[in-house]
Amino acid sequence: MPERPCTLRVDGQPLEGPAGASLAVTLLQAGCTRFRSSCTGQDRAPLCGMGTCYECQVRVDGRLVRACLEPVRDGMEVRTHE
Amino acid sequence: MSEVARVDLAVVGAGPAGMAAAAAAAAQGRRVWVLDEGFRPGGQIWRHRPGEAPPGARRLLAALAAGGVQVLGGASVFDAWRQDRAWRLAVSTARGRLDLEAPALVLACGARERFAPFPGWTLPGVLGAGGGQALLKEGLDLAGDPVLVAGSGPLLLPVAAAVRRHGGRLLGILEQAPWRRVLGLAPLLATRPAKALQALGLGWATLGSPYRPGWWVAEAAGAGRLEQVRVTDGREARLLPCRWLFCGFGLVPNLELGRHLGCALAGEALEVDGAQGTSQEGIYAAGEVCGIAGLEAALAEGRIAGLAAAGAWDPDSQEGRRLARDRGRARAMGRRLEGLFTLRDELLALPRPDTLVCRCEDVPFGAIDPAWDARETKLCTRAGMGPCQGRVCGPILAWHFGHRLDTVRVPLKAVPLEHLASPGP
Repeated sequence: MPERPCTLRVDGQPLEGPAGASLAVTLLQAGCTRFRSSCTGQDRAPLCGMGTCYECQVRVDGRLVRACLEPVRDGMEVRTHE
Repeated sequence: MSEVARVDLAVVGAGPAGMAAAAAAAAQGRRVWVLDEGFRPGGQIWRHRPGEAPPGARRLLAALAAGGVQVLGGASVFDAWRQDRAWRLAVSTARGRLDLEAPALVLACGARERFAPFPGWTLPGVLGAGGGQALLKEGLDLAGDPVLVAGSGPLLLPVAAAVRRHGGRLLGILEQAPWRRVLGLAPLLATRPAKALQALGLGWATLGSPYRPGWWVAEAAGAGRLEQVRVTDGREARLLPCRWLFCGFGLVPNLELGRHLGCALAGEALEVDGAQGTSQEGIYAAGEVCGIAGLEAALAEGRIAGLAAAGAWDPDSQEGRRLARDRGRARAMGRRLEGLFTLRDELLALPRPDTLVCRCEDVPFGAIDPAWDARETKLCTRAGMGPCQGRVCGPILAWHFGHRLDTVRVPLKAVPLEHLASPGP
């Protein structure tokens, strides 16, 4: 199955990524180091890669999701730093 | 109002154990659903990019399709209870809450990574060893970045091989266990080399890499993201510029759902009988939730559990004897490996007072009075009360302070409020 490129928006900026790929990988590949902001304001990025730790939590189309468990879709609106 | 789906068997976890269980029960004509938090079946070992499932996974996926098994990805089981002589699972999905009712359950929830905190372990760029491997399997391109693999256990070797395959410049593999322990692997490999290598996931690709038993990461540092690590063997220390650190210390079974359902434990695993049955009627368990033993154990136990849940498990049949033999061999290997990679005491001295133990609630080691028990620690610091609910810090607190596992609370996963609030019909 070929990976179709699609466009998502991350904090208002457009980003290209292969459809169906992991959102966590797509964000890391774009150089993102702040997926969420911790309760004392520290930047956090993926740790476990499998949905256990919640460190890669971002908001997608209004829902809080773990980026490592979220496939990339065309037109998805991603907000980091929640 | 949530909908209720009724099936003959609900399987939690779509890794090798869960897929094998579902395929076996479906082939007996049972209506089976498989739930997994991931968006593609395969679990951790068979994690893959779209359309690139490894051969073992492809075979089972074909069997699931042939058996009409419904595989629901992106599904988090956040509550479970007994109702109307069946089991109920409350499931959170992107499309809302779903309740699933089944007379039989197979718990194939797998395992997560064990972490050993050191200063800087919360920096972006520091991942678990399995965490790094998961992202590589999903297509992360390291593009020549320097990468250090560290921690403990046989998983470090395939992770290092994956780093090289995905373009990383591998700086080394630091195994905290000393050489004399690591050499204990050799007799295990010598007995049945090919099978053992396969079971361990070791590849020859790691030969010639700087594998250093007796070394560990003492500190990670960087402005905004990982830039360098300090490594030591307890005598000398070195600074390594590095962009990624994949650091894990073995695996911990995911016992939360089984414990919530009242299944008895055997040590740090669910207790099962010869048919993979737990202490609760109609609940079976397979794979890493029964103790860390790898792919072969998961496949054999999953199949046994699926057959047993369908009333078709015959331990005296030719297949039954073969499955029991495979299971026994894989379990014996798992037990022997476990003893080789015990964590050294020097790691306990690494955290500073401001090093975080609970990353969800930002609780530093210095905030914890060693005289407190698990409950007091939770009440006074909120350690373990964030979204991961102690899955990361629980094993760390147990190791550093001897805290026993606290009670399991629902919701078992952080889910939207409206999913909790929507009443079952």
